[in-house]
Amino acid sequence: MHGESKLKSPGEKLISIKLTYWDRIDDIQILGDFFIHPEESLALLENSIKGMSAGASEAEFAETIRLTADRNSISMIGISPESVAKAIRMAMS
Amino acid sequence: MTLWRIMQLEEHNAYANMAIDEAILESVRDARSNPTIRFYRWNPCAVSIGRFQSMNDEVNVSRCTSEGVTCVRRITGGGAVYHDYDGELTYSIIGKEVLFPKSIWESYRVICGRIIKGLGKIGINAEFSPINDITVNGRKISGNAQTRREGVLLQHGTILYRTDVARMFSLLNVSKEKISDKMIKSAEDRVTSVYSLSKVSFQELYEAIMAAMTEYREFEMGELSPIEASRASELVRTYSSNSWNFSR
Repeated sequence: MHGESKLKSPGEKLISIKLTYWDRIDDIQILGDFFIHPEESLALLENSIKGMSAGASEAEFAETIRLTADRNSISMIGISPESVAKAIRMAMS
Repeated sequence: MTLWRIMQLEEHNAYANMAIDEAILESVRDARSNPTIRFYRWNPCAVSIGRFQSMNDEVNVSRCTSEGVTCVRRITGGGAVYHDYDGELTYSIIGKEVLFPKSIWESYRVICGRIIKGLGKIGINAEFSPINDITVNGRKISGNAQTRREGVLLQHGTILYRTDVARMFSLLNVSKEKISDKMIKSAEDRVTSVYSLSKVSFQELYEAIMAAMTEYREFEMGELSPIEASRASELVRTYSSNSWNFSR
């Protein structure tokens, strides 16, 4: 299945999620006008979500993103693990 | 005191403008060039999108194509921008990270502070609107985007001079979510421009921003080095490729 969502949380930038999933998330794109340093590390965040259960909670997605960002010294500006997680759940609702 | 290179106002197409910024970044990284501030315009008019945006989602590509407007993806994040030849001034500032605050937020504030000071010189009372905008009475007059790589900071930004707002929004696709928390009726209400606030010429705007960016800095006027020019020519191939511009 294909899912899309857009989320603009107060004080943050626009996040757009495009994903394909069945019981697990097969593919995901995190799009938007946010900033991530280094820029190449967005792929690490996307890859960390791939393979997760489509039934994972918002908190579980947020924790995965937070851990990936911490382990790889990724700076997220105008975007947060919580808002990405929320947008991911919205894309599958 | 750090010696800066100032590159006077030039005009290039979108691919060359982005390629030159990146070539300078590499040259500064390799200590072959001094930290640099450059000013430029876009000829032909262009749309640039942020590193993480989708070209087809953000831009009316068919309309751009039919009107001869070039579309390019930046290496920096941020949003889609319409670069009108007559309607805006673009700058870039490129230097080792140690020349700027370590905090990304603070470095935006400091660099944008120079733009705000420049606007003040022509009678416009602007303010920094985190994360990366400059506004006048809540309406955007300047957008800015920064990257840091291998110890070098690059920030480029635009100052809206005389914006054809209708054309801007005919070329950009602005989602309702984007303006949902701005307390405004439409995307058009988000922006303002120098000329609508202060009837100065483009040259006067340029000189005011130039003065603010160079204040208290030791600098010399300079041009692209042969190595930078050669590298920029290579990078133009990337910036003009569909594999880059439509990668997302």
